[in-house]
Amino acid sequence: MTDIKNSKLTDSAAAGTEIEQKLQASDSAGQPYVELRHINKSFGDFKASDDVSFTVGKGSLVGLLGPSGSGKTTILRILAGLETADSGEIYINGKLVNNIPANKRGIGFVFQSYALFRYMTVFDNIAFGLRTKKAPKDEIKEKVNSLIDLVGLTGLNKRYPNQLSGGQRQRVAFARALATEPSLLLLDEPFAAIDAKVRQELRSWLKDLIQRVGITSIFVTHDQSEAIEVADQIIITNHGHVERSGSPIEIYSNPESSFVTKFIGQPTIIDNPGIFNGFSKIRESRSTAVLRPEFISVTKLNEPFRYNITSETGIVEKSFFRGGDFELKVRVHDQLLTVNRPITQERIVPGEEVRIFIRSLYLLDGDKAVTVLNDSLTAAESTYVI
Amino acid sequence: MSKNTKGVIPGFGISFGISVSILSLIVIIPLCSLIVFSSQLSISDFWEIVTRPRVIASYKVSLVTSFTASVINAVMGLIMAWVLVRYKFPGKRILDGMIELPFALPTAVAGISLAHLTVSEGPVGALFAKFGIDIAYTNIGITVAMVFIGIPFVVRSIQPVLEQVENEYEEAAFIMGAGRFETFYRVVLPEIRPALIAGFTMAFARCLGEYGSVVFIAGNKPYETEIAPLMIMGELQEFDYPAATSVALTMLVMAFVILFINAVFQSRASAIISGIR
Ligand SMILES: Nc1ncnc2c1ncn2[C@@H]1O[C@H](COP(=O)(O)OP(=O)(O)OP(=O)(O)O)[C@@H](O)[C@H]1O
Ligand SMILES: [Mg+2]
Repeated sequence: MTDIKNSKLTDSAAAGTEIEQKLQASDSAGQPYVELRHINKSFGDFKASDDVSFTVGKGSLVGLLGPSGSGKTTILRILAGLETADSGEIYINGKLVNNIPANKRGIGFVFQSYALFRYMTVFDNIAFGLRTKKAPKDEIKEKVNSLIDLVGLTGLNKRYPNQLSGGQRQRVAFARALATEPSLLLLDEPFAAIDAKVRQELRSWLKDLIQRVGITSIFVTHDQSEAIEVADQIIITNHGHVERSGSPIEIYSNPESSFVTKFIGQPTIIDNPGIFNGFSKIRESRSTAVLRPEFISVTKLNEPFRYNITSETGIVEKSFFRGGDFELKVRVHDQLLTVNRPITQERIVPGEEVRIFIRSLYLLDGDKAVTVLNDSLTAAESTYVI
Repeated sequence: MSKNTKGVIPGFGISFGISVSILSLIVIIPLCSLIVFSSQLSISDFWEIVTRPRVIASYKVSLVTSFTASVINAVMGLIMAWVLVRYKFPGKRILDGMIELPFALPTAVAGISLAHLTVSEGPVGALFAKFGIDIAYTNIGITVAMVFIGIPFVVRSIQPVLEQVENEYEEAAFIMGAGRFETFYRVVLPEIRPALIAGFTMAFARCLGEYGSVVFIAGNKPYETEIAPLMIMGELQEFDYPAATSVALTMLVMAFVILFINAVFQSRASAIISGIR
């Protein structure tokens, strides 16, 4: 995030406060605000939602994360009332909303493609919801202008959507969804249509804004770093069902299920982990395990290293510069491992033989994943305990 | 084409040259001959011919019936396009294919069959005759013929545009609290309005000039059911070419004005869509 963005936010802060106060969740933060119970939805014989249940706390920002086709959009559309569930209940603020049509649910929705009305100016787009509610003219004007300031589009009221950049359009879509003061904001891949650099900026901007406005929000993404950075709570979907739900740290550091382990972080899947030094306790040779770069340290052969006995040597096959780190592909026991080497340390080049130490790994066991530590570390720990 | 936009496809010079040549050969030169012919008359003679009461009456008949027919076409065409784009039903392809029939049919065939249907002894005419409404040989008959020939213009202009209007548009409006009518009026209609206007004006211009299918059903009573193109035919049959071309020139101006209004509207709409400020 840049400083320019920050100052813009503070500039618009004054204009935003009024809306903020109006939208601010009254008091009961943290209570379940949205609840899905056993939602099922099929398209033909394809199950797009399979017994989906989860709750969302009031005022929280939730990321629905999952691979393409895993049913994220479907869940969002069912919540919004654009799709009807075959069975199951949807509660918003304690009220069963199954039979309330989308135009009466009081939900804000940001579409992946924004769906801005092309023949309306920025102002008219944002004013749309207020006009359908027949709000008084001067109230609309005041409200829309303060929203335009809030999202940092001051001066662009009269532009048409096609005269805006992708990022600006996203802001309009966001302001438009907020205009009617919805109790719940749903965003379908809000950053997907934006190029990488602006996306980074908008992420922090959106998180900041949602927190200031205090509106309960659910956004869909298939980009895990987006979910990890932005969300308070992540719900992981797979094949139409909820695989896992929890805070980003919880999910990242304790993925629990085999699917999540293979999905989150930067996983390298290895076969027969028992052959690696320090993991001989894994007997089953057909087992698989997941490694992450942060579980592995790489050192030059001449560098001193503490756990020499339980380390491995491997040959560096490739090296990619990733900014702060070099990402190295190292072949050990005929398997290619991914490790990171900080740029501040002495360079390791392809072809070089290096020492590899695997601190821990996730051993996959059916649907489950368990953490297995390197023998040196368990020994060290037990020594320490004694 | 502005001077600093370089298109992807090269050869602006050549393509512009070809466009202008074709346009001249098939459009501008014949039209110029109209002006040449009518310029054999003095201005006062010209004015006298184009303002004869009978000619004036025919303009009125033409304009009123064409306008009415085009309004009907705009509404009907919009509904037909909507049905063809938004719904699946058996026979949809056949219906879709039939839209162009009025283009393909010789206009005289259409005119004769419409007249047969709508005379007071005909199957449709008899029905309306019970209510004291005559269709054939009245302005209503003329309008019916014009609706027939104008409908493809509207349907075919709207159809592709409507296909482009994404479902999400309507959903976005719906979520923001808009009902069906409001969603259509405020969201869908603006999207298809340029196409609707294009279809309307093309149909209008076509109806103004339509001769073949109209004369058989019109009855051609002077001052009442004579259309302007009939006036031209009349003058031609008397070998009064300058008079015929004078009336033709007047009609040309009318058609041009209609199409010009359309062009102005279209360029405004496309400016909004293409984001040019
Ligand atoms: N209207 C529909 N008719 C038939 N199948 C549908 C429909 N909508 C969604 N599906 C199917 O349901 C599954 C889930 O779709 P959904 O759009 O919810 O996925 P998603 O998680 O949002 O994926 P993505 O990340 O690609 O957007 C997909 O396999 C899709 O093909
Ligand atoms: Mg989706």
